[in-house]
Amino acid sequence: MVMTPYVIAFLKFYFIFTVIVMILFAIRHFIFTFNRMYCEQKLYYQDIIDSDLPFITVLIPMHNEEKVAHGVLDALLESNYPVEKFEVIPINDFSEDGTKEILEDYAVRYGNIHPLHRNSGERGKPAALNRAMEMAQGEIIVVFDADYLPGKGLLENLSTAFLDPEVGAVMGRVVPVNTKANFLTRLLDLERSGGYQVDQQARYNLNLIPQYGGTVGGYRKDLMMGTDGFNTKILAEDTELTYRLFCSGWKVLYANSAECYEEAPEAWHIRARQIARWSRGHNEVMFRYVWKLVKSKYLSFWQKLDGMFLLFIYMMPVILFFGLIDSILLFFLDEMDILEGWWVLLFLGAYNTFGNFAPFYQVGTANVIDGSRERILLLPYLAFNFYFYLWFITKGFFNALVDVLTRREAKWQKTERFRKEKPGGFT
Amino acid sequence: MKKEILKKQIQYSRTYRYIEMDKINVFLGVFLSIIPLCLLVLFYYPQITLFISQFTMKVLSPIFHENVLAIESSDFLKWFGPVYYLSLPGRFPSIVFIWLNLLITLISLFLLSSVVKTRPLTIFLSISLWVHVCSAIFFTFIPEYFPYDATEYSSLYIKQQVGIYFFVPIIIGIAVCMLPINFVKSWITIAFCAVYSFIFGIVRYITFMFILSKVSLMYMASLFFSFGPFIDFLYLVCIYSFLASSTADKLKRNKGVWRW
Amino acid sequence: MMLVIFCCLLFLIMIVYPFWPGYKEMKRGQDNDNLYIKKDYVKDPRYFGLSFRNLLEPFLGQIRELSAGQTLEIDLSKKELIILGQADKPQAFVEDRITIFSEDIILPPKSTSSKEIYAFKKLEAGEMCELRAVAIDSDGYLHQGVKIIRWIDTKGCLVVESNCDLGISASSETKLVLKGNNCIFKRLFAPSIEIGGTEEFVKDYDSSELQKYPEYNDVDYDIEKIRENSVFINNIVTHKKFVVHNSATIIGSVKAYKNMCLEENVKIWGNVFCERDLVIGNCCRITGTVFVQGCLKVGNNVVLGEKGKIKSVIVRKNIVFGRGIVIHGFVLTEGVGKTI
Repeated sequence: MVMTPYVIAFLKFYFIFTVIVMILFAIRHFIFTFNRMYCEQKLYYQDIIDSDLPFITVLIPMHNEEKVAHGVLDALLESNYPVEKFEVIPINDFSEDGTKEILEDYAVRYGNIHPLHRNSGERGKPAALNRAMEMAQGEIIVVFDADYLPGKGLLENLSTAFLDPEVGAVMGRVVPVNTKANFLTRLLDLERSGGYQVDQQARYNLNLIPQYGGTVGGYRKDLMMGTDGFNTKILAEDTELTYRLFCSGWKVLYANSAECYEEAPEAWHIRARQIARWSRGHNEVMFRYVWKLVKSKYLSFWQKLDGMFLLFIYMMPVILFFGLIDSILLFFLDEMDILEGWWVLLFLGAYNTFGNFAPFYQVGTANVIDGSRERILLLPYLAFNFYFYLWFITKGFFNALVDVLTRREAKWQKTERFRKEKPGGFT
Repeated sequence: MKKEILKKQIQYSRTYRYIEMDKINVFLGVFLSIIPLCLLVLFYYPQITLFISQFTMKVLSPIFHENVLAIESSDFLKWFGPVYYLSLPGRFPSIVFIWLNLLITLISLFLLSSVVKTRPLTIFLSISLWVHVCSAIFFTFIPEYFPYDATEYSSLYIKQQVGIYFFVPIIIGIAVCMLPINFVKSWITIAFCAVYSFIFGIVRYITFMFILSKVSLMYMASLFFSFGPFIDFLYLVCIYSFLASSTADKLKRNKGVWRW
Repeated sequence: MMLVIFCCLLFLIMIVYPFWPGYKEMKRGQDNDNLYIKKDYVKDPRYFGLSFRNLLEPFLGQIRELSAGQTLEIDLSKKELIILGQADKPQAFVEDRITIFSEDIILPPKSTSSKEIYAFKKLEAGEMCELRAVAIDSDGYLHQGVKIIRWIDTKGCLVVESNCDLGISASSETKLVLKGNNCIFKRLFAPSIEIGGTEEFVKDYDSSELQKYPEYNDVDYDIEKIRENSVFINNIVTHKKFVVHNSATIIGSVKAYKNMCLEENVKIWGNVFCERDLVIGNCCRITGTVFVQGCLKVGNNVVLGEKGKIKSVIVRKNIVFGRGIVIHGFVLTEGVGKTI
């Protein structure tokens, strides 16, 4: 077929570009996995005992959370953090179920629970957090999603991070509580292990860019209040906070010992919406922070590099998606000669190493460290997740692109809950 | 004093424990298995591909007329020799066949998107089916421009397969070196993976050539993109998962290897 | 043709087989539980002693009814035998019995115990004793060369002579005195920990001294040194080797990514975080928590922490303590802690 040589050259160049990008990510994941398995780990501050604990405010955004509200509140009431040094502000954000009544009941019974009910103004988690921060008394804000079940010592564990003058935020480890629910939750459990036990911890070890994840984490209130709070136009307020802090000289710590249960999505369509939302939000942050990251005077070269990798993590599937289309086009155009010779070796190696969103050996290593055994046999099933993520992350990316170009406002979508609620407790 | 009262150590929790790397085991296990296997493929791929082609010819020859099948060669890596592949006729699809395929594929796509929407397997199948749709459209409107006949595809496949044979030990080796196992286990795992890959490559080749020559050339693109290197990834990860699972089991019983 | 069909089938089997082990695990659910998180876990530096006492709490009534030399079988994580030790003639230790002392006790030199010891009153361990774990509801005294395998916890004051090995944890509800030299430890806890042979320790400073300085709320970056006798008011984060010269004062917390050195008579009113090694010179004061990812060396007459508060000294690698040191709170090293 006759096509202009430039088009062919571009298609080939894009193909090689995809391979190179995959190799770079593969190297990064290899370094992280190796570091986590074989190198001395940098400890978090979990052993610090300090009688001068800061006053903390726990914020819990809630939209129609009657199924899970009891769980998180009961868990926080069991906390060993001194009662006079913390308050809980559950944020009833436009709920239409029994959330309001549940919160009012807790407020009557417990003096340090002060619900905030929102029925007007901007919707969504960032707006809710901003509003709640205005009434928060704590110098440290700790955020939990409504489906979380914090342990007794978790608040103390997270608060010790802020003794370090450089720390702007801290992030703990999220562990699914409903692992055995179904096939999806079992796969998510594997992925979470890889993401936290290896990826986040390695980034912390290597003094790179651990990410604040928006829940099981905390930040200094004055940092947010001083910069007008969270940007309500961005869905991924957690990623935005991470980059805002790092670019202005603050650090995010990752606390692998600060573990907390969460409810993983139990339906594929819920997971699809969640991942598309994360992609959209993360890519919005990418568009806004790429240049700020490069220009930041507070970050080393390696931090900037890792920051770039992290910013582009939700763009990788998009690149691969177009890489797939590109290779299909090259196939039909009889331009597969780049598969001859040694390029084929690169393509195959890179494609297979990064064939999954997170390399299989990273997930495997994480589960070995966690002491898990038979669940590792589910790894081959993650291969199909690659296509799942490819599709929905690409969708999220294009939504983010449209948001940025047209200044469209994203509508916040809450993740559906599956827990069966017992009166006054949880199952 | 008895061992028990001397026990000072607290069991390390999963949060910050790690394993001290046994450099000798890793070096012996990984590099001394990857390098020979890769060199074997690099220096002997002409012989390997010749064997594959001959074996395939032997398997397929009963279903073809005499002298239809032949073994050809073409250049591959400059200093290492040519690759050998099977030359065979492909089956060009008739217009009825193309339209029937297109119809079934579109119905399947419709069903997948409306009935079983968001599942990983659905999306994988959808992508595969879309590739097939492209192929069908190609054959409908510009069949004379379809770039490959069965022989050319055979050449393409063999070259791809050499790359797979070369890279499988490397990828499994990279994965295995993250696990604290002795070098014998590493060798066995990497070698087993290489053997699985070798056999898989051959049976896949036979299956593909059979389909292209006896069913239709139209399936070429789907076969290439859906059952290509992506599928190799599956057995590789499966073999790794066996090893990782057994390693995790061993580490659970031998807690003394962990460091803090 | 059969061979072709066989190859095609083998191809299909080899594609499907990698899913089979995972499918079996899905069906059997052998390893489908959540990763276990101990939800009631809280940090407690006296965890060993307190949890041991809690385990015996239900049986104390029965234990108090025992006469010397009598045994009692109780159910803990497994069946355990408890013996009431004799005050004047301590029972020869056997390996499988928890020993209770209801009166003041002096253990003869070279005594050994392979199980826990619980003393309701004072306990003094003679030279070269080797004890697995000791809980004391009053004061404790360890003579030279005593080796604690696991932990020791006292409600009263615990005094330790030279050449002792304090095991994994040595804690006291009131005071811990390491008066000898050459002691080894991993964790220490007490509201007041005194290290060194002298009776007179430098007085704690008065925290009202801080009020004369203005408030700070910012961070200064990449400072290399603080000059002698100067006062620096702000938090510091530095990626350079950091030296605080003689008699300087820092009002704020410090984070150093490289080695850090405090010369003599330095005061830091805040926390100190060091990513590498920290050397604290003689007569220094740090009011807050000290966290070191490398090694810590502390000179003589140093005060860490603040009276009436609990602070921490956490060190990833080794600690060496000089003489005349006072620490208010918790000391932990993942390496080896030593007094000279």
